[in-house]
Amino acid sequence: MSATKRVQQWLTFTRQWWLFDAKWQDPYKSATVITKYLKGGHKPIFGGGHMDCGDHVVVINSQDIALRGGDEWYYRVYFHHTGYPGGATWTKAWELHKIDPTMILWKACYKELDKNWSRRGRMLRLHIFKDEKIPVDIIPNITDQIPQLRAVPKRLKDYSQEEIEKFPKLFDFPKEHVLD
Amino acid sequence: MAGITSPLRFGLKHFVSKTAMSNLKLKPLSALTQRSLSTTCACYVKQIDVTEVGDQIVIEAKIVPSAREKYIAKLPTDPTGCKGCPLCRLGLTVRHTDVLIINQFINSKGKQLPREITGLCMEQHKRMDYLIVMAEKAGLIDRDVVRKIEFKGLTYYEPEEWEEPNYRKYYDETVINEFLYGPRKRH
Repeated sequence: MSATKRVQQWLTFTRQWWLFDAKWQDPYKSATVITKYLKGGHKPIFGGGHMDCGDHVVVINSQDIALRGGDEWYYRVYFHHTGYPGGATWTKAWELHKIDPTMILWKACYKELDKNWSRRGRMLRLHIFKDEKIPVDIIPNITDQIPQLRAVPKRLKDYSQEEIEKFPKLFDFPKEHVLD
Repeated sequence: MAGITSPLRFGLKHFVSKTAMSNLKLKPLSALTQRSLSTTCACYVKQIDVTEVGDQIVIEAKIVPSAREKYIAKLPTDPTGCKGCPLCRLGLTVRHTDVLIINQFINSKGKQLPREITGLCMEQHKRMDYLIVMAEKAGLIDRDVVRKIEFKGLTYYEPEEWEEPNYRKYYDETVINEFLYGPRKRH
């Protein structure tokens, strides 16, 4: 084996580390992308769900996830049963997010993966953090990032007064118009 | 600004004592902007200044040059049959995150401007109405509008969204088509 091919061989069988910024992202739609990397589906050597070629994914800003408008924060409900009679609980999404801001994304990825024993091992390679703060020993491992599904919107407050004024206008006020 | 009598003729200075103002029936400012029956448009002016000097209130109308005169986009000729509507002519698909475009269609209070001023067609006008609400509920723009619902002679006010912390929300604009044209056909 030549020297260049040898390095390529190493790279195919290493576990790479990816970064994903969950700011303003839908957790249930981004879970389909994240689990693809956890399984190794993005690799050319991927041959099925039984293969152990998954990568690590580091998710940041999980407290800034966005659910669909209307009232999805209300009607999305998580069920849990303790096993004892009367031990059923239904927690709404905003209640769960208040307790632990990494929980909704973790559950979305857990639900998305194949239901077999390889799921637990793959979930261990998912590292979710609520802030931008990542532990020091994880940062040097990260090599690349997964693109976001939605562009992060900007509030009107965040624009300066000049930018708002100089943005091209679609119409002008009529000649005699009351400003209010 | 609230509480000015409507029958005043603008373009001139008016001096009204405070006691006389209180005797008159006060109307909201929106009554001013309604078009009255007249051949001239005497009620339409640019800016209304209200100053209080002693026990006198001075209401003055000033004609101000518009700030957006320099930055108006050059519109192409209309490819569709829709004449004059700026959004149709440009072929823009506006999203609720395009705050700088939506901001042009609302006044300082956050209320949507009428079609006479904006020049939108009816379809785009309704679509913009939904987009403004979406942008507000997603927390991208601020509005001071109290939404009123009138039903069978009674007025109801929309309740607040919820008391819990406002988490992030996003909207899907394809829903607007269902609002306008009814539900999608599913086979």
